[in-house]
Order: sequence, then C-alpha cells, then structure tokens
Amino acid sequence: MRLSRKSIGSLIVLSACAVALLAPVLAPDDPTKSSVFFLHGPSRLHLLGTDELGRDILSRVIYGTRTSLAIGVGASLVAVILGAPVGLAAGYLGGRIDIVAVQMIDLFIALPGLVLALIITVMVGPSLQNLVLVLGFVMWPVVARLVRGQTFAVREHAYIEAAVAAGGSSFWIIRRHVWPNIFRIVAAQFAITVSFAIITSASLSFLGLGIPPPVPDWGSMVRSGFDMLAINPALSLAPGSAIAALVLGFYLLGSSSQ
Amino acid sequence: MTPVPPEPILEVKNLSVGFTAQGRAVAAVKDVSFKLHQGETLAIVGESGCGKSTTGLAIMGLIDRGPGTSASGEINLVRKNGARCDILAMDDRSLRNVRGNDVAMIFQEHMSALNPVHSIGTQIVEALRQHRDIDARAARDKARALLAELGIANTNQCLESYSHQLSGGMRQRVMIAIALSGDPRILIADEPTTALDVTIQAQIIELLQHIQQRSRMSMIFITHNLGVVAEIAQRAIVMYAGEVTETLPVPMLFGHARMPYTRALLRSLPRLDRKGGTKLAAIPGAPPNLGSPLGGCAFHPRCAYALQGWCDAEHPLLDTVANGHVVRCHRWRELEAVA
Amino acid sequence: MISEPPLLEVSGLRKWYDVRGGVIPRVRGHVRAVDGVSFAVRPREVLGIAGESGSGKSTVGRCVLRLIEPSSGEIRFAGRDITRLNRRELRLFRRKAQMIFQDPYGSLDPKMTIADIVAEPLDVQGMVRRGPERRERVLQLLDTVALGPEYADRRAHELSGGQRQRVGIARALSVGPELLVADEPVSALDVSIQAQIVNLLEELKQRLGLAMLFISHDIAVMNHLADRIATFYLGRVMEIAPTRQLIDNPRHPYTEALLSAVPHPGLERRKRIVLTGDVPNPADPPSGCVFRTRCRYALAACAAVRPPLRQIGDEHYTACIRDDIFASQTAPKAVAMAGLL
Repeated sequence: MRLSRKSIGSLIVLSACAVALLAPVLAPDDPTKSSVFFLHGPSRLHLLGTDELGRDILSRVIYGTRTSLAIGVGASLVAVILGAPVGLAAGYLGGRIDIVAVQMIDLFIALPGLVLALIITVMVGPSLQNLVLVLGFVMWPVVARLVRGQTFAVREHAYIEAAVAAGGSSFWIIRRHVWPNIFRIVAAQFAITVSFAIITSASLSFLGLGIPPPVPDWGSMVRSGFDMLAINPALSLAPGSAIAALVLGFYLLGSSSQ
Repeated sequence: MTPVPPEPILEVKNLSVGFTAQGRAVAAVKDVSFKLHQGETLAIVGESGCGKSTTGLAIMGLIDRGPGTSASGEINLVRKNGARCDILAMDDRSLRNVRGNDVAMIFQEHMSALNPVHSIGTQIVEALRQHRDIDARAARDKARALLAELGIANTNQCLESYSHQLSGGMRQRVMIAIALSGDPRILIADEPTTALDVTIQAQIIELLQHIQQRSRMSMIFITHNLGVVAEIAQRAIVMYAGEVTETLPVPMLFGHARMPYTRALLRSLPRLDRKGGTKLAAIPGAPPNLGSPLGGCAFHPRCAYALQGWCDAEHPLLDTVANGHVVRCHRWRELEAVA
Repeated sequence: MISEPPLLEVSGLRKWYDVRGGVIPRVRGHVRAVDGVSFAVRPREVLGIAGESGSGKSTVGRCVLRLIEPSSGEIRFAGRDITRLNRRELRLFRRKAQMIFQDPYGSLDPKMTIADIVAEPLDVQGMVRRGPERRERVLQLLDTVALGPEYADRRAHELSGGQRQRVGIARALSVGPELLVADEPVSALDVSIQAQIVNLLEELKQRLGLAMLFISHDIAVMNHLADRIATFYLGRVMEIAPTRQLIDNPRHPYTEALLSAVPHPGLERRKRIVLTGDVPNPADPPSGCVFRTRCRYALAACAAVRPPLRQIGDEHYTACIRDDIFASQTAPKAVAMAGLL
C-alpha cells in the first residue's frame, strides 16, 4: 500500500473515529470513576497508570477522542455554516455585498485566533457548546475567504453564463453550479479547519478554559499532568500524543486533497 | 519560382516519437520523413492530434527525453558553418548552440512565451547576446533595428513595454524578433497566426515572406489552415494520426490531391467563392484516438472510399504519384478517375 | 420575407465601460465596447456579425440577450423593448432567445450529466417536471443534434469538442426559442468538425425556422449560413448587406480589407490589401470615422463627423462617406474552383 500523505491522514482519522465510536468497548474502565489508587504508574490493570483522582489514564484518553472529535467537527461545521454563505454571496453577487464581506473577513483574519477564542471564552464561560460556537466563530473568515476565491474562479466559466441565459436565478446557479464545483476544495479545507479547532481547543483547555470536569478532555489532562511528569510522564504524554496525532491526521487529509 | 538547390539543409528520416499518457503508449509521430531546402517554405498541415507540433518540437530538440518518451529516427541538419549533425543524437548542451543559431521556433501561445516581468527590450537583448558576441549597447541598437524591420513604428516605446501592454500582433512580432536574433537558417512557426485577427494574420504572413526573401531563410509552417498554406508555402505535408499521408507541391494541393483525407478536408472548408446555403461536404466522425489505434489505414473509419477487408486491415505505405508527390492510400490510382 | 416585421430590432445600442484610475478613484474615461449600433433581424433570418477583436461583436450578442446590461439604446424583440423588462418578464423572454457559446469545454458543467445539462433551461423555466416526460424531451433534443440516447447519462469530459458543441445547441433549443445568438460556435473546433456543426445549424435553421445572430470572425463560414452580414469595427457598424452582395460587392474599405485578408485556398494570388498598424484604443477612438486611421482612402473630411449608416442599394448600407471608391470597380471574382475539386 502506498504510504501517501492522504492514506496516512485517512488512517489516523478513521482510527480516531473508530476509537470514539467503540470507546465503551475499548476502554478498560469508566473514565470518570475515581479510586484510591491515585498516581500509580503503568500496571497490568492500568496500562498507562492513573491520574491524581485515581482514574484510568488510558480510558480517559480513549473517551477523550469523543470530546476532541465533537469539538473539532462541531466547530468546523459552524465555521462552514457561517462562512460558506458569506463567501458564496460575496463571490457570486459581488458589488456592495462583496465589499462589506471582505472588510469583515479581513478584520477577523487579522485578529489572532487563539487570543480571540480565549477572550470570548472568558466572557461566556467554558462549556462544550460554547467552545464549539466560539471556535466556529473564530474560523468562519478563513472558510469564507476560501469559498469566495473559489466562487470567483467558477463564476468565469461559460456554463455559468449559460445558466443565466436559461433564466436561472442567482440562488439556482449557486446551488446547482457553484457549490458542486467548489465542494471538493471546501471539504479539504474542512479537514484542515478540524485540525485547527482541535489544537486550539486543547490549548484553551491547557490554559484552564476548557471543558469543565469530569468530561475527559485531552488538553486539561495535559495541564493537570504537567506538574507530575516526574511521577508518571504518561499523564501528559499520552493525551499530548493523541492531540498531535489527531491534528496531524486531519491536516494531512485536508492538505493532500487540495 | 526560384530553382531549388539539390542539397537539403534539413532531412528528417523515419522520425517516430511516442509518449505514455495515462498508462498507455501513444505514438504521436510515426515514421515521418521529409526534406527541407534553403529558402523554401514547407507547410505541415493537419488537425489537432495529428503530430505536427510534436514534429516541430522534435526538430528543435525540445522533446523531453524523460521516462515514457521515446524518439527514434534521424533529424539531419546542415549548420551554418557547414557542419552536419543529427538533432536526435545530440545532448542538450550541444543543442543549445543549435537552437536560435541554426533553427528557431515561434509558437501560437505568444502570451506565455514572453516573460511578463521583463521588458521587451531586456528579452530581445538577452536573446541577441546569447547568440552573438556583442555588448549591451550594440545589442540594444540591433534590437531596435530588428523591431523596425518587423514593422513596429515606435521602437523605443516597444522596447520599454511589457508583454501585457502589447497587442497580439505586436507580441507575435516581438517573438519573431527574438527568434531571428540568432540569424537562424530555419524558422519553425507553430500556428503563429491562429490566435490572431485575420487582418493581423495577413500582416504577419506578409512580414514572414519579406524576411524570407531578404535572408533566404527556410521556414516550416505548421498550421491547420489550408488557406494560409496557399499563401505562404511551396510544398505541403499533410499529417493524420501521426503519419504523413500526403506530400505535394502547394499548387497541386488544390486540384490534384490524391489522398481522400486531403480532398475531403478541402471540400469541407467554407469558402467565400462558393454559393451560400449549399451543404458543406463535412467529414463524418472525429479525429482518431491515438491511444487506441485501429488496424489498417488510420483514416478508414471516416473515408467515403474505404474498402472493407483492405483499408481496415492493411496499413498503406507511401506511394509515389509524381516527382515530389507521395501519398499514403491503397486506392489512390483508382480514385484518380473519380475526380 | 422583406415585408415581415423584424423579430429583433436594435437601435443606438451602446455599451460603455468605465475606466477608473488615479490615486482618488474616479472615472477617467470610457471603453466604448459598443458605440451606437443599429440593425434588425427578421424571423427565420440569419444575420452574420463579422468583426475582429475589439469590434464589440460578442458584447452586442450578450446585450441582445441581456447577459450584459446595455448602457443605452433600444432593443426590441417582437415589438417589446426588452431593456425595460422586469424579472419575471425577462425570464419569459429567455424562452424565446437563447445562446450558443464559443467554448465547448467551458460551457458544460463538468459535474452534471448531459441529460441535466440539456434539460436545465426547462428545469429553470419550470416547463417540465422531473420524470419520464423530461427524459423523453431530453432524448428528443439529443436526437435533433444527431446524438444517440447513450449520451444522456455521460458527463462532459467523455465527449469530444464537436459532441459538446452539439450538446450546447440541444440545450439552447430545449425551450423552443425563436432567436439563437451564436457566439463563435465553430471557432474552437477542429477544421473537419466545423463543417459538421455548420451543416447542423443550417439544417436546424430550415427545419425549426430559427432566426440567428451569427457572430464570428470567419466570414467564409458566414457565407454559408448568413442571409445578411454586418461588419463591425471598434464598436460600430461599418456595412450591412445581403451576404452575396457584401462579399462580391463590398462598399466599405474595412469590409474590403477584411475580405481580402481571408486566406483563400485555390484563388489566384490576388492583390491583397494589408492594413497597417493595430486597432486603435477603444477608450480613445479616432474622431469621425473610427476606421480612418488605417484606411487607404481616408480624406480630411473623414475626421470631421461620424459617418451615418446610409442606404446605397437594396438592403445595402454603408458607413463610408465616399461613393467614388467602389463605384467603378468590379469585385475580384473568384476563379471557378468548384469544378476542379
């Protein structure tokens, strides 16, 4: 089998989805069940050891996949739902709509994503829903810009003019002609957006603004394991590696499809 | 017509070029042979996919000899200094000496052939200095002289312009100037006027004829336009599906062509002197897919005279009709009677 | 045919594009793509618009269909001024007038099946419901352009250039138009395929009684299809005449030059008129007659006033102020080549 970037990326992403789906089967323990056996090193019962509340690290990493995927995919969907219509309208209709859209896009892109997410999360309070919305809100301009650019390119084709000559409305043309022809590129960007969302949410969690406990979340795990690396490095390394792998997986998948 | 000297300055012998496209072997040029004499204009005529452009590139030594590409045969050139060489046998370094000095080429895509970030003057000067041992100032003067000779009125303005500021006709003239900077003996023109307006095309053709008369330069003019062939060439080679199907003097082309493809092509052209409203004698079908060649004659699926069992089975060889006229058709003798 | 009212009447059509520039963006001038054009097309008639780059011929075609909004002027279709239609009326107008595009490769959506492409105007106009009726109509249309039913479910990239162009024609015909605007429909095709498509258009014109605005730079093709030809230069009409008249007896220097520039296979090496120079800048056209800068017969008077399109014969109009250039000349008749081929 050819080890292309695309196949490696797909493998990682598909494995992660499988793990998330099969978490109850794969995980040896309940990730939220605390015990008195805290901060134990790797053993037969707990392959990666336990954390400061006696919870099994491996199980928490496995269940954490669900959280990461939920945030990653959720936030990206929000970004596409917000950004694609703006990009399509700006790209196809042009004129004043485009001028306004470009101003907004440029404004938001100029702001550093992580900082913006941080500030808003502080204001609204961290929770799964909020995180998904905030990250989606931070990322929509990138999607909009890409969609706008691609729409410009497609708009120049003669088949668009033919559809106008047939009497098609702008909405019809965007739905029937523009969107299907830019979909592949938007899907590739979607994957990249997921990877960005995962790393950003992990960073927010690391800074203490992640999903509140006891939901297993990789970023928080890295943070809490940070002080106890000498006792059991797996506390941080396991979730950290998982973050890296998943982010890499989505990124490879997205960038190789472009 | 000037008497043609006996020794050709270019002889192409059994040239074959193949590529692999999408996993399949494609014979773009099959066993093509012809000669070119000094001061002569030879037209290579055919439609897209017939191999005419590839032939032109092969003569320039521009066929990329990468994996999957094969080229065989000989392209024998007599250089300006009298030396003989075989283009196909030469390496890139030696070819660089040949290109521009002995053989030059101009293309249809004049938009992309000129570098958009350098001024025209810079590009012509660069070309001149590559081929001649002159300093920058002399090169600039020569560039100016070249442009003036090519009919450009405001030479200084042109030298300072960039390619996007010029019209199509001007860009083509600049390309010709660059091609002529090395004083080549042979100019290969690959569809140079196809993208131009018809009145500009007339200018360019007249220009090329003028240059030829002045310097006895030979030209290989690659085109699909039979009308242009009539204007500019003395001999014509008709190509179809990578092969030469007919070679003949141009005056013979328009009344005494023997190959059914040539005749069908001529009959299917819309003409100003025909009465309107009559149906054009269109050739049915479409040019062949070179990746999956059929047996027999490449033209037989579209030929009105194809005989089953013969034309679709046996591949015709080149026959001599008369001096300087060869044709690749099984039935050309019989068809002579059917005018 | 002469007494019938025109199907399409264009008067004083103008399309000017603003040229903006400078540090403070303001309108500094106008590119006069179409600069006061008038002509008419009768039912079942083909009018050829011949011109080179910068002539405005493509822009005119698009203005007639309101794919580009004209800057000013009147365009009447079956008596109604279509520049004043509202959205609903404009959509209905599109059933009557359709377009065939130049690029067979870009004019078909690569993601759609041929059936969907051909039926799109019907879908958009709500003229047929999805189902067997639609399918039947598609197959009928494909048959009209000599494509078998096996093509309906293929995609554009599986078809050759000539086949794609047929699909484009089928699409244009789907809503049953009375007028077709054909913008260089054969220019991008191989020479041996061009004749097929020209024949098809000719047959459709006869069979369906279509009127056509045939836009091309190739006058030879127009000779076969067009009943009348108008020559365009720099956004203006230079001459309009019935086809044979225009070709045998041109009465405008540009038409003369255009005709003589066409390479003719088989003709005697005739004296060719080669125009000097390039087409002038459409943002800054010459005063008076726009062709005067390249015209070998130009007089001082040609710069003074824009020459009107005046009638000089039966259906023959020219925008040249001089009468004396062509009066005594007989047009160079082609040597009768028909017999030799």
